[in-house]
Amino acid sequence: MYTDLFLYFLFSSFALLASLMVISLSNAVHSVLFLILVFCNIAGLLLLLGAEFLSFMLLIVYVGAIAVLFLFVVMMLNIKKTSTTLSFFFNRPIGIITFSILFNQLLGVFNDFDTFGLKQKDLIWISWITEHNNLTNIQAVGKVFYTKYSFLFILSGLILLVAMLGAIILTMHQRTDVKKQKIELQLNRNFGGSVKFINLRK
Amino acid sequence: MLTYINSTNTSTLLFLISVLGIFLNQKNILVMLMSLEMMFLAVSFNLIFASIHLDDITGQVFSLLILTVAAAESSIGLAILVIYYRIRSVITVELMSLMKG
Repeated sequence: MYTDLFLYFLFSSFALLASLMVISLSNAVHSVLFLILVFCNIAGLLLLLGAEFLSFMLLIVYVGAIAVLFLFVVMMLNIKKTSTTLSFFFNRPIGIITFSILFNQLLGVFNDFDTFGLKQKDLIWISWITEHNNLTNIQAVGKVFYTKYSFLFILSGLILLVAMLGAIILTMHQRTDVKKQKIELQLNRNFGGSVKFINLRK
Repeated sequence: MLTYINSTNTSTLLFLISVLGIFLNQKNILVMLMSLEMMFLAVSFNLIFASIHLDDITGQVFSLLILTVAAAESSIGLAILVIYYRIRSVITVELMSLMKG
């Protein structure tokens, strides 16, 4: 009945708790993982609100790009020695939860065993003949974004180009102690300059 | 039932928590950058909720622009952080005022 309300409170409370964990944890890797949890919860909230395009865009950009970039930098910079000793009891609750959910679902197939009300009693069917004339969220965004705000679209592309060039130029540095293959020197070599005859004993 | 709920509380609380994260956490700049990302997220979520609540698509367009700027900002910031670590081999916020051009 109130599934959307329940999901709303679940997602928002989880997002806020995870954001509190992000700012309070001392280990940076754990902070990044809780940041991913915040992004996923906010994406779920947006999915509940009906903004599907922005939700999945947020998931792709934040989790797929920014959080992975953070994780990469955190692991590259070697700020703090993290003890990666996963105890046996760390994996156990996740396994128990996954097992109980799958067990409940699979048992619900056979008979009416339904612990948390996870089984759907009255099926809702969608008439796709009437549904396919609707304007979806991505169509609505695209119709405005490519026409009225096309200048902003081009400008955001320019911003991304500048950011990409800046990141490449900032982090690129030429190492002098590495032997490299230089094509022009190889092509300029000839037989006379490379082979020398010397007499060892005169 | 969801249409009666005001989602501004969530985004405002998220924004305030991120501000707290920036101002309380003075030792780790990575956590400060993460808080900055969460601030972007809160503002963008607020815009999207307003656009759905008021039935106006402009908020979603501008939240997409915020997403672009957030991606650019994080890439540039982390690049600067990597150079700073390469030069000083330590990232502390207190000594960052000693940087010269």
